[in-house]
Amino acid sequence: MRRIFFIRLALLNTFKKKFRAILAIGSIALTSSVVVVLCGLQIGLHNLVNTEINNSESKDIVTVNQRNSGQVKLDEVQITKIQSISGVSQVGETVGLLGSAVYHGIDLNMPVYAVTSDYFVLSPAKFSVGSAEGQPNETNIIVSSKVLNVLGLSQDKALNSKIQLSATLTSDYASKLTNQSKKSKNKEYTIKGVIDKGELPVIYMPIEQLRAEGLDNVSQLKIQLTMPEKAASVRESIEQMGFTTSSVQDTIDQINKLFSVINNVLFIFGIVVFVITVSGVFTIISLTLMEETRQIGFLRITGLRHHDVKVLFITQSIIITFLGAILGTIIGIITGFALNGFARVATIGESFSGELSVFAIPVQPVIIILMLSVIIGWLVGVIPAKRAVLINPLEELNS
Amino acid sequence: MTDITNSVYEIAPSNHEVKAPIIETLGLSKVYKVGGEMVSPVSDVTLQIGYGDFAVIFGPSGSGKSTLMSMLLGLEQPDVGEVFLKGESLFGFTEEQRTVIRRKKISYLPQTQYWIESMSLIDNVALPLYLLGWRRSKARKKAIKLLIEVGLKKEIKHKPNELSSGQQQKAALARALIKDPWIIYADEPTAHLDTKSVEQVTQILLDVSIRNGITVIMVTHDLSFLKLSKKWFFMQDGRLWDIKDKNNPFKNISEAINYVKKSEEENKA
Repeated sequence: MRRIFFIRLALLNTFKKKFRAILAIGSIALTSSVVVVLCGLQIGLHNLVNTEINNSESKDIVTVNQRNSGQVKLDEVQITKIQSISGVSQVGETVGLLGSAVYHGIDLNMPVYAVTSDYFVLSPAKFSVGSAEGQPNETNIIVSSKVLNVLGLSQDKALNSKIQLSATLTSDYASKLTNQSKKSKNKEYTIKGVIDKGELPVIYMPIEQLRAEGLDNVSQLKIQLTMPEKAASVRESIEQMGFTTSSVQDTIDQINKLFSVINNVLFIFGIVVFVITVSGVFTIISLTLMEETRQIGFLRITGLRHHDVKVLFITQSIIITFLGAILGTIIGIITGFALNGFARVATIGESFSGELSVFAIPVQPVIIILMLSVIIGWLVGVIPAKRAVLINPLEELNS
Repeated sequence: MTDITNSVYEIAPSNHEVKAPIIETLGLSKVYKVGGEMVSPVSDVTLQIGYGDFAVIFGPSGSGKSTLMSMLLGLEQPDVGEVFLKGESLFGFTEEQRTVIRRKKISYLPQTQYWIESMSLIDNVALPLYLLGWRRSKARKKAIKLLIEVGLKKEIKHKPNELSSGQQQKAALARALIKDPWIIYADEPTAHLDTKSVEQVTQILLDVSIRNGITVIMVTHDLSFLKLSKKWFFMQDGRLWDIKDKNNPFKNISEAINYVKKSEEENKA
């Protein structure tokens, strides 16, 4: 019962000066909400980036490119050597060329990727129509949605439509070419899938036909590893052969570095917030002490122990900081969800894996904020409470 | 040391047959260092006040009455001497035990009232019971009963600060009585009241003292109280004399009264 009375009295004292209490709680709420939003955005964006990266390509895929000098080519001999490296399970080949597509008399030049049939297994894409299974192969191709736009084809009619396609081979990839370039034979292909590549018109065609016409090296390999742990040793072996390698892990590492910088900024921001909160609440509690000396004097004479006076002041202080932190958390989470809503509206039509969330509830930081608010409240209340105990009750009551 | 919640404190004052004093001091002195000088607001004070007594300590402002009151309440430790409450050394108890004694059985009626503004009048009156851990409904019931007894039936739903000075003092009296104290220390309780309120508050104090056997120790320089009490003490420059004491510095009570009047006039001037 006495505890309930103390809490009631602490609440009454806290809200006696309503404007001051609102100002104190509001400032703590504002700073905590900013921390919650920033932490939530940090976690949300981190999750989002990781999800998108993980969905775009698996961590056990390594991309191999020729060096800019082009001294060492990704030809059959080198590819065979790479295939024989321990830890490599599958190799997909790609070469980017200039292509020419003809559809109902419309002739268009656009980038063409000549790929092996396992390309989309090693480098997954989101299909809006059709599927990647076994594509592209001898007679089938995959196109980006922009290609359909350019050709005036709707997505639902695109599947199984026929396109005349050829690619321009250059001496970079066909070493036996006497001329600088050569156009491959025009051949009819059937569209078996449509992928979203934004504004990029691109066609994925089978590499086999071009091999028959002189293509003997490629611009890029996608290598599947037997296990992600093998990545370092496999990459080292390939780089020693004179190629460059990259993997999604590089991007993840860079993103992690970026987010660790953000974490440090948040930490410094948190310290600044901590100092502001401590000094603000300390001032308010000290002011309360100066105004409530008669109350303390009266309560001491009536039978409030030193310990009870301390509890009263510390409770008042904790009420301010804890309410501020709770309010700040609620405001922060509501703001975060509002940002998610804005982000979803702003990215309608963009392809994301699942529902887009730039903000995630930062559970751990919220728990830390709430715990810290109690600790700050306690710390800030201790000194005024000690001062309160030292006053002369009779003198203060009759002052 | 006896446990304050048991033994001697369980004996109700009204049933007490022993003529021993309820409160007694022995050579009580307090010394402060002000600037480079030693000042003694209370010096070698010895007094005895019995159960149910209505005692008046009068003296001019600055004579040491408040410091003496502070020591009698157990708030300020004397440098020399001792205070005995029901035969037990008050300062033999710990600070915490003295606080519990005040909480349970000692009331204080100050000159100007203190109220917790955001609380209702009933809650303010019931506050000593909340500190004792009473349930709110039970404490409020007793507060309402006492407010009616002191004549504040119509004002029960008011906030304390909406009451007149006289009504506030009556409400404060109800708050002092709510825990059925052994002793009420009253510090100039009628200082800011009109004549009618002085009479009413004084009458209530006298009634409870006689009816419930509550000891009232009043510090005042209002000489009208002298006629109500049989136990008078006079305080001057930190020294206290029982008015019946042959060694007191005045030849008779009139001389003491004139001295206080003269001192007060000098203070006002």
